[in-house]
Amino acid sequence: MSQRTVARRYATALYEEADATGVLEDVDDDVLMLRRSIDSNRELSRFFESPVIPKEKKDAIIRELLGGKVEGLVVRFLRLLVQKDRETLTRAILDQYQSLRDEHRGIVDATVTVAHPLAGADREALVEALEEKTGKDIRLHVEEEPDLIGGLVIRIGDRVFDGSVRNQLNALRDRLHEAPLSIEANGEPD
Amino acid sequence: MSNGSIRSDEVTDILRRELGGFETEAEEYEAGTVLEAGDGIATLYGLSNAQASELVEFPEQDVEGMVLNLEEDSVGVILFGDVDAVSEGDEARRTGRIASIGVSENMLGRVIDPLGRPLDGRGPIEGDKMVLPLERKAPGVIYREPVENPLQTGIKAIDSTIPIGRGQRELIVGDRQTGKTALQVDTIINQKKTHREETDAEPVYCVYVAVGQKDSTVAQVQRDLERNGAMEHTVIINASASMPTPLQYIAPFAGACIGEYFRDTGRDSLVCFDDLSKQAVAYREISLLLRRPPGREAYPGDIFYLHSRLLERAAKIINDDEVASQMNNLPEPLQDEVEGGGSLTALPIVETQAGDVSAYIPTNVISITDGQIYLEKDLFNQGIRPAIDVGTSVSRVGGAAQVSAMKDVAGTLRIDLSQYRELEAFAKFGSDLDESTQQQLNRGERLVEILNQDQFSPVPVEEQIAIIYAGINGYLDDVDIDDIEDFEEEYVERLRLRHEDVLAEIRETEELTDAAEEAFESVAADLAEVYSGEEEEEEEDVLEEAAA
Repeated sequence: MSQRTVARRYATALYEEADATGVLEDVDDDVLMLRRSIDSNRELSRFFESPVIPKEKKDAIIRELLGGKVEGLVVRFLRLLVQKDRETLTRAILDQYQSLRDEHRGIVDATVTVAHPLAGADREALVEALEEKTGKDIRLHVEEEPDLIGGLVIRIGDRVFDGSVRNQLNALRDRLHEAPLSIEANGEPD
Repeated sequence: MSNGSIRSDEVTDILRRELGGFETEAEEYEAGTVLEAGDGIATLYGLSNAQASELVEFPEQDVEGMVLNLEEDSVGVILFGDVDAVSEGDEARRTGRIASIGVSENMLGRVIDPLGRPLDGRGPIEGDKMVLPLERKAPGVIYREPVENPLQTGIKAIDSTIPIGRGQRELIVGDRQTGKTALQVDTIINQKKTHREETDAEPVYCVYVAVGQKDSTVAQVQRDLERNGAMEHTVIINASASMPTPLQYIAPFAGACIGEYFRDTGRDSLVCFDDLSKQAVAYREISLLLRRPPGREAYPGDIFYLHSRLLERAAKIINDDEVASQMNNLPEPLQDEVEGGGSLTALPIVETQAGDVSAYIPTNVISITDGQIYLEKDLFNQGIRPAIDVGTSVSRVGGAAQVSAMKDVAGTLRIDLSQYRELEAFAKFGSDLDESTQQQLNRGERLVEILNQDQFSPVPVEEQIAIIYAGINGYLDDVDIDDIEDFEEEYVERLRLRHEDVLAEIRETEELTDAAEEAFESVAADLAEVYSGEEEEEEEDVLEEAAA
């Protein structure tokens, strides 16, 4: 079974349990905090990923480190992961949880690639336009790629809207390659 | 250009016109990322809306692929073209098109790859092409007719004892080097006659699909067809051993697709698959790489369906334009062109190992097809060409399609031959045989001899009838075995000279009249006398020499 599938199942379990016990908001915050900590703290990410540290020790550390700081459910969840030998997937599970929550809240990630930095007003206009088009809240990620020359490329999930100058130039090139140019009108064909 | 310089304003003008129609709308598409690629397979992340057997493109690499596996969070794709160019992280786009090829009349005479791209170095295929899907559901029951028109192979052993009808699926099965391809090539060559204007036979368009063959073999087939004037009505599809396995897997579907183009436009077509065991191996490779569970001989579970859905596309379409135009799963471009009465005959080859027809693929395809032609190594080594084992070969539906004159003449041929085979085994013990047995052996030996035939020399059906008539009725009994070939030649020659009208009548009416029988009898009797006389003379010579 692929890691993604496993991560999705654990994330769903956490979400449903949090929803049922009414601590959804707290769990959301805890997950966000944990996710950030793992990213910023190498020690912590190594702690979750290392197979050398024995289960009991991991269990004890989790209780000591997080007990009282985060929701009880989150602590129990992490201990369950340790028990099931899935703690190496913690990062993926937290990611899945977040995307699951985004789905429920109607938030979608949109990646916009531009050639030149986006001005504040343009950015707002873009978010507005996208929200209107998709009917969902947009979380915008902006990337810069000078190769585009101009225009922008928007990617939401699998869907790509390519309005870059590069793409249009490519299309024009293909068109000039393929189109049978009618030379007869101007003179004899070679 | 002949007139010196190109005026720059002309160039500008052309470019301006092109730009004029150029719209600057943003392109919208669905994209995924390659997770892993290799061995002609790529796993993609994303593309969650992709359909099975949809084409995807890798724009940076200029490679196309076909969706084969749809999983929860990935898509398995087989790659056509430069397989090694695609690597992890590359972008893949949906095209929204189901895998298909452009088919046109101008493909006749050409060698193409399974995607319709020319391979013979004679430039692009001109003219408009009709884009037809590779995978298409076979026509349903109401759009079909029973097989009843003969497809003449020009091979005496087949047309007389294992007749093939238009719309039939007849398997050719045998070990390597037993002349399987030769049967297909001869059959294609024989269709040349149907394209002559003076005949009123419906022309048969041929497709030869080479799967996993050596390029040299395919080149040889092409040359043979060209030399015998059969290339004009033939398309060769080549997915040679060096091409990516996915192309070998789809090649037979491409062949069926071109055959269907002729079939659904009211014409007759013949598709030769050479061979389906190599396609099965290619499909096994793809399936294993896609991690589908292996079954018997490591073939995937749907290997039977692979061949059955392919061969099911062979059909005789009902001779009613109205009904035919309602046909199920008609691709859009064909819709206005449909005519009834067409057919697609399939001649698949399956190769056996050491004559083992009970292996997985041979048994599968035997059960799918409407009969099979067994080629045997032993017979081949005995010098019997084509090395067809008439006893075990059958044609389940072709009988209805046999010309009635042939039916009259060759009705007992199968039984005679199999009785001869049985007796032959006994005779090997060397015991004394009574006269009637000896007579039967003698006759059998001659019947086997007259069914022998050189490659590239198809015999018209009326001549086949004449020859078999002479054999069955005992005119050859006194002719020396070694002289039979000469006898046959002279016999046909004389018939052509003196009784052209009789042959023409059989050709047209397909009936054996008393006049025809008389003509055969008189010519055969005359010749038999000459040949048996010769034999005696020779014997006398030998006796005289011995005496001297």
